[in-house]
Amino acid sequence: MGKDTMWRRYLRFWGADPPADVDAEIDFHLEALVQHFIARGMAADQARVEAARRFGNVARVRSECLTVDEGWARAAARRETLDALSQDLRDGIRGLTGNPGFTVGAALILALGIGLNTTVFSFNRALLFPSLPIADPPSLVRMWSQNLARGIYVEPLSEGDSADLFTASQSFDEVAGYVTEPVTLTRTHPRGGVEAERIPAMRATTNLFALLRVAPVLGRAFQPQDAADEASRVVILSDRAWTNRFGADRSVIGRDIVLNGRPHTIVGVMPHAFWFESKEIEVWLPRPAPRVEGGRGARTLMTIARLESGATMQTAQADVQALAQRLAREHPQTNAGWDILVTGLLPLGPGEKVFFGLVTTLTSLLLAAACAHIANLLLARGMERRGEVAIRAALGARRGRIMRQLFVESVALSILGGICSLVVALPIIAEIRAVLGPRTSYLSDLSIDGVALAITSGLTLLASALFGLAPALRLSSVTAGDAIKQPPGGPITGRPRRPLVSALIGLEVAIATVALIVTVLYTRAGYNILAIPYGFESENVVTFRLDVPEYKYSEASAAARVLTDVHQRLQALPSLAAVGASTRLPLNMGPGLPTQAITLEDRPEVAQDQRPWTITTTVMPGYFEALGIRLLQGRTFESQDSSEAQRVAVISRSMARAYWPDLDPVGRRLRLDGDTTSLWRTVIGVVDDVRPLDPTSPQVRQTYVPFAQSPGRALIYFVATRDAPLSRFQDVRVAVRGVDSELPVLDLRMMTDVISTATSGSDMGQKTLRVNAAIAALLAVSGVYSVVAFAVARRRREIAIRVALGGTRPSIVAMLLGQALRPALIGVVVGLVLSGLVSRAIAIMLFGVDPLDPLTYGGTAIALCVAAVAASCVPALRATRANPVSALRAE
Amino acid sequence: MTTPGVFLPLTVYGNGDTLQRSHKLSMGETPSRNPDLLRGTVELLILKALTHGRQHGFGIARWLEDVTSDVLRLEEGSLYPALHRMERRGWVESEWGISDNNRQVKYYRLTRRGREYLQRETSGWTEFATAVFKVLQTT
Repeated sequence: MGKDTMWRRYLRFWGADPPADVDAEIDFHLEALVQHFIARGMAADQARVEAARRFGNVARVRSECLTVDEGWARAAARRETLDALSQDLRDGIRGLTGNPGFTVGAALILALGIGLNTTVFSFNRALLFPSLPIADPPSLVRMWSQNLARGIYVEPLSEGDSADLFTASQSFDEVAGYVTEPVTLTRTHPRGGVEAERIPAMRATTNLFALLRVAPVLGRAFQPQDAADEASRVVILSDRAWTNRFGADRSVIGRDIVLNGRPHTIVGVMPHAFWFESKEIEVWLPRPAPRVEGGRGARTLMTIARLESGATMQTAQADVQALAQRLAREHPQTNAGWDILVTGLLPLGPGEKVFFGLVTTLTSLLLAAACAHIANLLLARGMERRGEVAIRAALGARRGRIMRQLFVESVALSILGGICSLVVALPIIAEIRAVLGPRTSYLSDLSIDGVALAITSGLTLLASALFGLAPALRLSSVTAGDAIKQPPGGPITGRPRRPLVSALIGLEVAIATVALIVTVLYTRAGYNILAIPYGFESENVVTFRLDVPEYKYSEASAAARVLTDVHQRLQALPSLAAVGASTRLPLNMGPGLPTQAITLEDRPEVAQDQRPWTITTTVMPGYFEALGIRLLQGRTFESQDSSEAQRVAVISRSMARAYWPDLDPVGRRLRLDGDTTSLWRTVIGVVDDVRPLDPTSPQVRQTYVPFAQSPGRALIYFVATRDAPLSRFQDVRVAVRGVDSELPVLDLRMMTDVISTATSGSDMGQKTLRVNAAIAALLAVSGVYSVVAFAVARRRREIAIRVALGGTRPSIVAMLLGQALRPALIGVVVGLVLSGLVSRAIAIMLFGVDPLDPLTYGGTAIALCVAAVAASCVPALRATRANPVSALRAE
Repeated sequence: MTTPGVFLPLTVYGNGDTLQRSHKLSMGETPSRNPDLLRGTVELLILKALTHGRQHGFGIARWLEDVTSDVLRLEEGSLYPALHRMERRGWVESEWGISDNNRQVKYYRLTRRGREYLQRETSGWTEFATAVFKVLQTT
């Protein structure tokens, strides 16, 4: 006989009450002993004494027996729970597989909701709370120059400003500065021949690593004298460089490598997981701390600091604000109108913050809609299973047991949804990694955040458990007999009140409304931006970059000669329509955006912070023609505008309109401040604006100066081809090699690719919102459909009777529709109100679109209502068409 | 009843450690002291007592008294922890009944496993006793 059988027999007498049982057993023995002694002739009380003596310590016996029994009871209970649990699991899974339509639908919805949310949260976490290989990231801040009047949100600091920051500010424990710039690594091959390679590098003040609280894993960190000493050039390798270029050889310390033509001694190697700014950086070089004399005009120094304990970003901001104001007073020429901004490690502009907030909000709403949808499905299913549950209760299952089984089903469903969500999330994350990863190292290793997945799955679990348990919760109000006898739809008369279902439908519709309206507004804004002409042509334009190395061409004129030679060689090719070059990519992309204050000849002096300004680009003749920038007045640069000729400039339309509103600007003179020669330039022509990527930016005031009069070392070339642009790549390489065979051709690509890369980020954003809205709308419409369909199924008898009694089809349909459409309508109204709030919050992103645009609101509302009506009509009409007799008979 | 006899001091169970040790025994561990031997012996005796049919604790005590002519004087109460433990290990099973004077009585009965255990241990004990006796017999 099994142990359980014995156990049940044991419990039979007193129920589960081991102490009483043990007492009974002991009492019997004692009493029997007493009788035994009395029978032997003892007196009653002496018999008792003797019995007690013979028995021994009652209390001890009792406690020992109880320990054994209670331990046994616990073990048996545990076993029973385990059995019950595994049974529940099996039942739960069977419940899901037995109803594949429901399971697949629910899993799909959960997969979408959880998948999108996990993606968004993983993305946010990577950007806002990245796990960085440096100590205490929240206490690290960056400082930037800001000039909102010129449309500059963040720009690096100038050397002089940074130096003042180092000394004058109290909020910071430590301040470091750095620039990222490529260096040329030269290697001599054992078989002869020199190989030059541009590698990303960072030049930092010697305290950078101390500030980040990381130390090299080999060798040593920088010391202050490394930067001061001209003779000793040292370099620290990144783990990447060390592994790829030196095979992780531990003896590299002390070896030399040639950077920019000069030998540098390797003094350290950084740890494996360490990166800062970009994962591409291969070497670190020391640079001296910024000096006040270092100049304030050029803003090129990135600055990072660690907050003192007790300081917050707000206090630091107030601190540097005071400094910025002082600098503006003391150095009006360079600092008037400029602020200093304190941000965290990743400076997100206001537009970006709003956008991320929007995407996060909408995907969270989508999750809520998905949960509401699942809840409705579960409630419907619960109604159908009321009979089954009641039978089970009648057969002796405890309510707790039934609830547990339903709970297990919900858990299984959520787990299934969680697993399926990976199918949704992984490809999206891979795409983000591919598109945005190259642009920022924070996203280059983007992966699914386990915490996000767990939390989102947990939320859906909560929702599905809550609603999945509904049929069990109602058990007490239903006797088994009633539940079985009644038709599954409830009583025939009257409209069954299902407020919960209505609320859920309303919620889904409201969310869909918000998602649709906001997305439509945002999409329209996107199209508005696209519609603005760029101001140049990008079709059939090949672009590449040359950067003439200083170690080879130490003379500035020699470097300029190289660039001009390449230009001339390319111009000589008949297959090219036009060749030009400039220091920057159009659309205001590209490294650095120096705005400059200018002085207009025939203007009175104005206050320093209100001086006219411009964005200066140095171009080679052919630039405007190559990019198809229209000439509006005067002429563009030609070979006559050489270094000996009069200084000239070409300005853009907006600049002309801003500074010479009713006059002809051609012939006027201006002077660029910050220009080393500081000579007056004569305006010789006006060209069309080239608009920046951000259409609201005021940076359309553009000035162009000829390369011959303002030479440099690096240029971006634009080659307009007549045909077959890809084969022109070879022409480019040949031309460059003809001038200097070692000069690398950088970033050789089509201009159209450049633009699509630049807009890829916002394209992804658009896509995300659209997918989100589409899913929300689908959920809402299918939700309405299923609610009506279920109501119809429940009330089949009632409908059949009405039809049999002569009810007209429209009246019956109207009766059925009313139930679902009322909450849907309320949902639309609520959604409209919410949309108004949300659109106002994101108004800065809605370029050229009214946040409360009646066309969009009205159109969406009508569209949703029509969809809801259509979805409701399908099952309703089908019901009225059914043969009433067969419907009644089917019961 | 004043024959000195071998008084099995089942008080060896007690010194605060009782609960722990009885717990341990029920989980199959064996403490390393002598009480183990004594405890095992009591269980054997009880099992033997039950070979004649079902019996309650009092009856077992009386049978032991009779058969050993009162040489083995057990603290009768100590039978019960042993019985409960053996029930948990599946050597005996119990059922409740009503006595002649309408009291609740708990009867114990030998299971097949108990019977097998008894057989094994009996032969072991017999071997042991024979060996000891042999030694003691030599001069």
